[in-house]
Amino acid sequence: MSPEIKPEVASAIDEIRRAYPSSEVEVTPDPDGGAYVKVSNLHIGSQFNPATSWCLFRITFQYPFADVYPHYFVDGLQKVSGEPQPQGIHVGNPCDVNGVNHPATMVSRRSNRLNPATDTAALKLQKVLDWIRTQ
Amino acid sequence: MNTNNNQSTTGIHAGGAATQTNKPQPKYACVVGDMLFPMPRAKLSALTILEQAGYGADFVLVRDHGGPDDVTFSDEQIVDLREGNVFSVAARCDHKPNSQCLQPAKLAYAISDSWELTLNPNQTRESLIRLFGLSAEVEILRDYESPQDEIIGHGAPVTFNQGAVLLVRNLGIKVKVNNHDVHLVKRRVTGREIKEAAVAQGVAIQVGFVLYRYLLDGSLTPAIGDDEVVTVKDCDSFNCIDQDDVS
Repeated sequence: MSPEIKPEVASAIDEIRRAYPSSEVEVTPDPDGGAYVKVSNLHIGSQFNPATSWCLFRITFQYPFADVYPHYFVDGLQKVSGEPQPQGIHVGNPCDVNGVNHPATMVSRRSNRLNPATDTAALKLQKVLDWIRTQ
Repeated sequence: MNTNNNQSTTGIHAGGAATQTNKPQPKYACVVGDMLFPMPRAKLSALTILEQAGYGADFVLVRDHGGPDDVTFSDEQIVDLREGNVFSVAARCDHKPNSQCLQPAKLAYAISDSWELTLNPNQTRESLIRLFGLSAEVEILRDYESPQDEIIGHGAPVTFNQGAVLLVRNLGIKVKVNNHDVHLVKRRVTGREIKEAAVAQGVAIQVGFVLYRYLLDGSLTPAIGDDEVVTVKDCDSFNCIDQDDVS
């Protein structure tokens, strides 16, 4: 039986739900008190095919003292122009959810100067979205 | 109140004729297509308004009213901004001039280059403070074509047709950045100005950080750019966090 999601992680998930009211937020607890979170129906930019994707990421039990990273998007994400993927976007990099691989495109944006007092999972997701929309 | 000004003021005022008058004239402005434009006087041709708002010969001026029917002006028609100063434009080929509308015209009050719409021409200092979401401690002044503007006292009327272009002093808007109080001195600020004010007031961020605003329902805006202008009000909440790196 999976342990309960830690309060800090649950609070982060609540903030994500409020931050993205038009998206469905699916939560899968992990074995340690964290959770895998999948946020649907996110616009990532018409320069990509598809232009809309879900985003899946793991909030570990160490949150907020651990970074929420990487983020996974729909598998096979491609630039419409045919240009190579920008640095930081890795096609064909599956996401492991509790030992099960799910096809995905990994976006790797690390918060090397994480501030647990201010850096929330919702803000991290928004930063990643803002970044990918400018690629 | 500019009661001690003994110097004559020459200006183009309502009606379009230059006169000598001791009373400073209020400034005028109008909203065209959701942008605020200063105007030289209360009465001017529709063509002048279109030109000053940057619209070419393919467009006609339409005054917005509080109902489905608006008023379309011909180019040479004289428009009195005191009867309504909110306009849109329409393709000339689709619209013919009409002056029939039973609904009141929309009115835009402007305070320090921000504007809000109302149908009520009989505002007070306090109702405008609430309309614009300003602090109760601000000073509101009627903006005249003169170095001396008129402070509007507590409870005083601010009737639209006597001038709806206003200034604010001692703005003192208090927002939160990373849950710390930050005082801003104007209502329309750039992202960079918010961050600079926060840094100056001791918030542990850097100007190069990324700025977000939380809306009342908890949703997040996209990152606010350094040169992006946002309109702030008391109790607005921002988060400012460091950039990410490619990994």
